Amino acid sequence: MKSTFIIYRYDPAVDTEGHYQEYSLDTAPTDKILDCLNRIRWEQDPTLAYRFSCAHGICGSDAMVINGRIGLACQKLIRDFRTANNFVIEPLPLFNVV
Amino acid sequence: MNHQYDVVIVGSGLAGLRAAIELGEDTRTAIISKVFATRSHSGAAQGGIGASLGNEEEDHWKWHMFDTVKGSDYLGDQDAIEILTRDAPRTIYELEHMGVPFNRTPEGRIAQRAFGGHTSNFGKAAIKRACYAADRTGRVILDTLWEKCLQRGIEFFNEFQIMNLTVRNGQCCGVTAYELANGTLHHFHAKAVLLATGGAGKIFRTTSNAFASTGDGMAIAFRSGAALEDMEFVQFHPTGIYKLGILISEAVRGEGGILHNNEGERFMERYAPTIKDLAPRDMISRCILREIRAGKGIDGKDYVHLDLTHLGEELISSKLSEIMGFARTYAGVDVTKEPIPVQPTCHYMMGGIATDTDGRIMIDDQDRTIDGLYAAGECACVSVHGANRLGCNSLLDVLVFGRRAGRSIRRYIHTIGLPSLSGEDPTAESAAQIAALMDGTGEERSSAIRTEMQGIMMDDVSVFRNKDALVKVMEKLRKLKERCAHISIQDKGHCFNRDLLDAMEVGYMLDLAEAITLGALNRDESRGAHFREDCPDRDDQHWLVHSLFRYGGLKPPHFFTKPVKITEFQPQERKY
Repeated sequence: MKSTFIIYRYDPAVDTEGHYQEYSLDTAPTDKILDCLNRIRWEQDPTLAYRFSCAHGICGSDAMVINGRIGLACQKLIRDFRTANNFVIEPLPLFNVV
Repeated sequence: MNHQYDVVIVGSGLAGLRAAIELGEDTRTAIISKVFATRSHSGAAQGGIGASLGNEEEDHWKWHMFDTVKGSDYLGDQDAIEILTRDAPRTIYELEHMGVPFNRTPEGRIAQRAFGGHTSNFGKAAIKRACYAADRTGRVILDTLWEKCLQRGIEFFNEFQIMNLTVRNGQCCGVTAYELANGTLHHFHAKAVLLATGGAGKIFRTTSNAFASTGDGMAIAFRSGAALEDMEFVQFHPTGIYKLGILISEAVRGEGGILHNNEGERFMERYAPTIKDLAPRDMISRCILREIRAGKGIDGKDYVHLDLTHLGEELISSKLSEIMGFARTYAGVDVTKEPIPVQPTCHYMMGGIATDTDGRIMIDDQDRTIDGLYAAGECACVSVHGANRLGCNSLLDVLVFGRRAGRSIRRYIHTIGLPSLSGEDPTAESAAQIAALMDGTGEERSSAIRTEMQGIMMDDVSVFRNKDALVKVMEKLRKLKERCAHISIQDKGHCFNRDLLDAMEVGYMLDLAEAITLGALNRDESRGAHFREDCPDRDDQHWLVHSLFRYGGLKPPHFFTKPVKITEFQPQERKY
């Protein structure tokens, strides 16, 4: 299944303000959102950066806003979303975006 | 940027935090961590921490010592294991006094449960020895110790990646780290450095370990002249969630969970008639794979079932609630109604940086050390786990030996002044390494090299090994190391450059993978977690020795051995 990830990006060295970047990826219903982000980073765009570590919902590093709701990217699977194959990924509110 | 401290601790897991607390408020201590401190992987420890409190049934530290020695397949150093098991009850009470919320018995004492390989009366029957806080024991200890560190004013440098140790005239006097947020190099000048950087499970494709568990501290110490010890002993935990490797705690079997093959048979009864599903991890992992090879995997696939449906919802939701959540989220399984599909997953490095029982790092088999350099926790090899670690002994290890390392560092720093850093910029080497990666024009990507390494190691250097495959793996790893020289970084920025970090990590992991494979190749016997299909028996005559490795740079590591310390228990056949 093709999924689209629309990800909020901001690099203080080159950007004056944040913008959304779109990526397309083949996904399975059981893929974690973190798996998808990792594959985008490894296969398409190594400049993508986000926090992650344990990958099973214990450490709490990969908290982010997924389709408007806060969650851990490693705890949310593609099948958990009714938006089918569109995902908007944004940073947590109330934190500085570096 | 330059900093000066009395002591720098690398790693903010339990070993690092416990050592920091021991250093006292009059010691200026910095903790460097590649993740925010409470994200450390100690927090993922689930099942418990072993101690012969005897709260549930009669127990003695000597029984715990015997179990640990036998569990190690007689490769653990018995003087160190005695320290570990004798100090265990004190360690639990210390945690209790710091505020760790352990589960309780109805009488209000600290509750204990059964764990693999822990027995009463020198192997007679399974015993309840693991103290626990539901199935998030590591999490609550980590949070408690972190708060203690904050109270003591210990300074944290979070999201700093260490790159090089500063060693001058055989004395360690600092460490260089890369700040992920902005790409700045920092030098931490100190009287002593403690490495508490944890494991390296990410060397293997299927692992319960965090992305951060890439063995950075082990590899950096190795490159700086420290000896690595017993690297071929890599623990595969029998019950990782099928395909994902996410850990399902041994506490599940401690509470009565049972493994079944496709015929619904409780197959561990055949392999370990006395303690069945509570046999040590190395044995159960092999048994699961043997069942699968015999065509007894579920639906002909490479997994078996872990059944806890008979335990009842109340016990599961009160004592195994995290597990319930993992199974639901990742396997779509309601554990009160269905079994969990499981297969072995890379879990723990018994090997690591060779240290003595006070955390001092060894460079050879003559107990020579690098002054001012210490290691504790999973990155160190004391060795208390020998060829196979028992469940709930690693939380104990990090706390007992983290404390002892802290105590010996405290003594050491009062005997010396801050070593002088003459002349050259101590960050120069790290700056050159970063420049080489950032300016590289090669075609290689670190992600491709890492994926290949993980596949090779999983296929041929995991639970079952044989000589022919290991010889080929050594060649393959060598080629991957050569390819590493041609990695180019796509992200040219200095703000959260994960691409750069990935490239550093794959280099560290390849150095360790090479030591693991060389050890597995040289050790032509089977012991604990190291199983050679072409030599399936233990060979005490030749191999009742620790493997040691010295860094070889572009060549494979130099391999040598040292004797095992045996005090109390002579090697016997290991049956359960």
